[in-house]
Amino acid sequence: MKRTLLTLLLCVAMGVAMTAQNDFPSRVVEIDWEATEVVIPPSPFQYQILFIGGEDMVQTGINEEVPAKQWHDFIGFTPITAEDCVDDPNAIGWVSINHERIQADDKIGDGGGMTAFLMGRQPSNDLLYVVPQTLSDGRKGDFFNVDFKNVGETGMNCGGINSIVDGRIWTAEEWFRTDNASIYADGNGVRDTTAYTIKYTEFEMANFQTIPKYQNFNWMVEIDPKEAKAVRKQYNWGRQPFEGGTVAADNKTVYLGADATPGFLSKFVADTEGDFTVGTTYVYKHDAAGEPWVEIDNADFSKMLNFKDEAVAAGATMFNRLEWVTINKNTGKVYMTETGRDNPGDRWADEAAAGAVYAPHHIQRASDQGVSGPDDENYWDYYGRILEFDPATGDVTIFVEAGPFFPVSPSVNDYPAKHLSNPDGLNMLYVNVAGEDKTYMLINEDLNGTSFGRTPIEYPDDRMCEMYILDMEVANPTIDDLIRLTQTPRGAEITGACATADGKSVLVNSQHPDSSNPFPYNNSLTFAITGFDDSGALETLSAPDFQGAPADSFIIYPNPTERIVYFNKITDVALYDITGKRVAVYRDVKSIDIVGLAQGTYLLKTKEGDAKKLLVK
Amino acid sequence: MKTDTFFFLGSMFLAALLILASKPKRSTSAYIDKAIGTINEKFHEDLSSCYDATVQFHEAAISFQRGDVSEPELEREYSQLRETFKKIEFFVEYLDKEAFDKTLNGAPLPKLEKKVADLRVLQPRGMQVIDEFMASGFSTSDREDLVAQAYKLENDVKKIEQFLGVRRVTDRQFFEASRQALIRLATLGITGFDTPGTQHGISDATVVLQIQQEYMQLYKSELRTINSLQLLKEYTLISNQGIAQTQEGNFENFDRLSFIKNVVTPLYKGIKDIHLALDYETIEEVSRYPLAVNYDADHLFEKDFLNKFYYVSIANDTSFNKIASLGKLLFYDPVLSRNNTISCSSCHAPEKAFTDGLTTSKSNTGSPLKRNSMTLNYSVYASAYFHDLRTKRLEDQFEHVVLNKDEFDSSYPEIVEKLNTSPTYSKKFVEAFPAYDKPIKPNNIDYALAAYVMQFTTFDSPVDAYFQGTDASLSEEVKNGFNLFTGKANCATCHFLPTFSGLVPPLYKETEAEVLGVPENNYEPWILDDDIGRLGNGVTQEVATFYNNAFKTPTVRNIEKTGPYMHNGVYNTLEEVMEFYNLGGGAGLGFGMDHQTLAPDPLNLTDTEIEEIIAFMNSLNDKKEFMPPTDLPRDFPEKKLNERELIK
Repeated sequence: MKRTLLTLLLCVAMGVAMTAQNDFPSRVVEIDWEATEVVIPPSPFQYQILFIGGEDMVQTGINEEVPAKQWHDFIGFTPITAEDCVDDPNAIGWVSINHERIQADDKIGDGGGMTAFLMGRQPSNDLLYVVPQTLSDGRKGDFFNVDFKNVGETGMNCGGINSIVDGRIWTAEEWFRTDNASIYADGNGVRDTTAYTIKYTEFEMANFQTIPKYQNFNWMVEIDPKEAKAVRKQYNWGRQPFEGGTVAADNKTVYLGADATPGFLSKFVADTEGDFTVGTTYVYKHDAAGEPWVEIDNADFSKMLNFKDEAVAAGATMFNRLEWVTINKNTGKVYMTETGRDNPGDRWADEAAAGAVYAPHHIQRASDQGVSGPDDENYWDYYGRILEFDPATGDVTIFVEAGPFFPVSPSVNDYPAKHLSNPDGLNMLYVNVAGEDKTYMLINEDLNGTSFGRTPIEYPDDRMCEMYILDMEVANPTIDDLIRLTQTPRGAEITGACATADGKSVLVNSQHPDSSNPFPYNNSLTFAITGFDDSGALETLSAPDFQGAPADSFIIYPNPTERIVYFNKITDVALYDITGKRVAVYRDVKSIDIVGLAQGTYLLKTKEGDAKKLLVK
Repeated sequence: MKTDTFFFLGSMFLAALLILASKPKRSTSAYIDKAIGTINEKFHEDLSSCYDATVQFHEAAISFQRGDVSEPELEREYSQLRETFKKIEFFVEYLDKEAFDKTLNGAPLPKLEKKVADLRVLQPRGMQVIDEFMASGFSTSDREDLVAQAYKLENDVKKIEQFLGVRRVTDRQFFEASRQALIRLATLGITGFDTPGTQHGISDATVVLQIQQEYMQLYKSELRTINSLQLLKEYTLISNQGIAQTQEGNFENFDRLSFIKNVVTPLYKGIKDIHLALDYETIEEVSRYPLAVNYDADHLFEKDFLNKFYYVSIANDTSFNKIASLGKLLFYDPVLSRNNTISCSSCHAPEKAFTDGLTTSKSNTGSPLKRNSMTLNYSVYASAYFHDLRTKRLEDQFEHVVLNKDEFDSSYPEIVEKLNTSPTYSKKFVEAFPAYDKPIKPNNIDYALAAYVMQFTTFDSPVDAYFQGTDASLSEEVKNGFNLFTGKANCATCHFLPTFSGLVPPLYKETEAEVLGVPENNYEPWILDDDIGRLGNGVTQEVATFYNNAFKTPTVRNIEKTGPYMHNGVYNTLEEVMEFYNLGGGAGLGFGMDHQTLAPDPLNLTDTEIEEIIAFMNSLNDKKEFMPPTDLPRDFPEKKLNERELIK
């Protein structure tokens, strides 16, 4: 009897299909319960919010606390060592977080700033927690404002350096300032704009130099996360719109990226391991005779102040916004994001005329686009890329090209399922999974815009920034090898992906969301994704292989980690809920995102009439 | 199994086979068989025609510069270009809004490049810039610049064609794009926003309606199949009326009021009716995130045309009313200020549409503050707050009042501590925010206040009632005033429909600021007000000289109650305000305003016209009145607190 009814219903359904103009009527007559059931287990990862800007209180003095600043950006992790006297046996290390802005604050201090805290991990369930501390200056609490008074304040703390050797932390003062008015901001920013005299630093060339206040910004600044205090501004690395940097395994070499067009790659080599106050500063010039590095005399303070002019004069290699820099400690190769900029032409033409040289890949791209050169107003660099610097060869090459950029847009069927736009944050994750050492790269997007496919054309007005993970064993990776790990709410930027030393967790910042996301996602916040050491979780971090599947079949592969269901072909699909109501329609897709779906049973139908039952857990 | 069941099954199977056989084979070619296949083909053809037209216009501009082509010939070429452009505009704007604004049809004003670490001014380009040249005196440098702009347009349209020319749009996207085009037509097309130089706005409207009708006819056979051809007939009838009206009208005499009410409104609903009848998916089924424009709404003046939850971080759920009623108490409660003497209502009184009637508001010691109190009615519909646009969301602005030494002079921890001592407040916070252990927290205070303010969006003025069809009686004077406001007087090119504020259609995502050149005092000698406005708002990415003296464009709804006017309250009457605009703003007063965004030319409005515009603006008063609470919680352990005043 049941079968009779089903057959009847089938015929009625077909009758309906005859008249409905849509492949997917908004109501089906009956759910096809015979369809194959596919179970989608819950995500193997645990998500935890650790620190909320504007909400959590930071300690600014003894018994003095104020809500933390917002605009979280860089995250640093400083692992605990045997020498650190910490009572909690489960403490794992200090977290330092940048606040990328300039804001007046009587307690925190004018300008930008950082917050530091000690973190522990519950052995029972791997969850993270904040460990209360008492610092040597008497401050007590969970979160501590990093004090920058001793170095003349800070601002626009964007990226930074997290040494792979010992977890030392530097913060980058990115947004390049050219006058006091722009830091003063009508009294809302840095209120004390009197000239600043540098005193009592390790840098003889800088001591007792008096500079306009704005020139005391845009340096790399070392901080001590354990005492929540700034240590020094690296007046010997040059004043640049720094975004990121990395310390090599020798504990002598530092690579630095500058977020500007042109942006230069620079390098500092210390005379002594771990002492970054004495050494030599260089700028990268790919076509230099011999070594591709040109020294900029860091004993001359005016050269450090006007680093860009010196780099141009040295004929340095120009990039289009270098952002984060990281290093693979297994190979010593350095990676950096080149975020890109829509039409950079007029931004570096003058510098090119004055002797600086374009990175070869920009000359190649310009030629591919049929324009006169990277200085052509029609040269576009919408999507950016990840670059690799190999210290062994001295070459900078493209590691993963973002986009993709097409001179002519391909047909729908040839359009890639993944799209990487304006990579910004970059870090490495080293984790032992079931006895095997794995190395992953973490890549964060920060969209410059939404045009020309930087966001899916399917969703008007959507600005989703995604975080990707890449297995470093993949040779010659392309965007198709990227695995999407998470996305932040609309309008937000994900930054600061930083792994804990045990590789179990990745800490991520979600910054300045500009739209309607419920608390706490409307604030800048730091959250942790835990479970990278779980072999079950990592198994899912590889794209499904549908090769050999018959073209007329419909095969799906749910990925609980990404909350995505992959198909073996591009098609149109609709999701129906248990009552037979259409709840979602996706067209021309190879996969669907089920992150917003409530738990329950759904029917997935294709336009060809195939069906699968999804059990979302 | 019984035999009869077997036969029954068998015959059903046969029937099913027959039905299957008679059906067109389902494959990807189904796209081509249906309307959407032809729609895609047509769009791609129109795209390449538009590109051809840009090439031709570029050539014409070169010939014109050389003197080989006359002015009327160039104008003919320009009309042709506009026509082909208006045919693709609706799809391009919908599919790639950012590229559209940046390169094809953005306002002819410089903008800042976003998301970069340095300050870079992007010079305007595209159709609106070209339109200004077409109305210029064609000096030698104008001619040269026109060639350069025409060349840019050619390149930009080529890029768009390359990117969108092979994309496949869906039925849903077509209907959404078509409805969005009607919003653009009503708010930016016939008002002259799109054509800052020439007066092509009305003839453009003809093209927009015609092309939309051509596309819509492609659904004829699908609608016939579901016996709903009537919907298309109704649509076509109204569309033809609209086309006739635009063909008869010109920019000066066009009756925008009747066009919006009798043409745009039914067409906007008609397209949705066709979409839903055909049972194609809607945006809600595709995107998890709601847009600012609510697709369900039938027309521009419907109460829920804009989704106010788009603009805030507050969830649209069952606890909203409780949050808002808590906000109502907080709004009038001086407990939020350090000395328990002033509240939000001190400067935002309900009977004055939540303003204070002062030139500039008073500080906590009674001295005048820097700026005039803005109305809170409809304030939720914005992407920036304060006259200087320093914060982005309604719930974020409150902290500036709390921390300001001249205003509440308090801090969140202080407020939280005080509120926690009142059992009534503690209970109300628990009810409003049941998910929190400790619900009295800074965010929730902000949310409660914002939720209360979100209710001041009644859309029940006489003008709204007219468009909503609930009351058709507007006087001739008011009707003329509307047509002047949206036409000759150029008001609606900054105070956009339907909020009559700087919230820019058709997406309603961004609030604009304008440089007007407001004087310091309303008497001679005229001196430019020294408030730098947006330039000094503390947003480090906005330090651009063209933001000097720029101020947020407020709503003119309830304007009768919100005087004095302008950021500094310099004008006491609407007549004074109109006089200022009629002269051409600060430029008209003789200030050397090189970056004034208001057109510097006099509007040449007659006294009668000014009266009509004021009569129209005075018809924008909300009907519903908001009342303060009857009393405040008075169960604080600190006795003195319970004696505080309810500030109405």
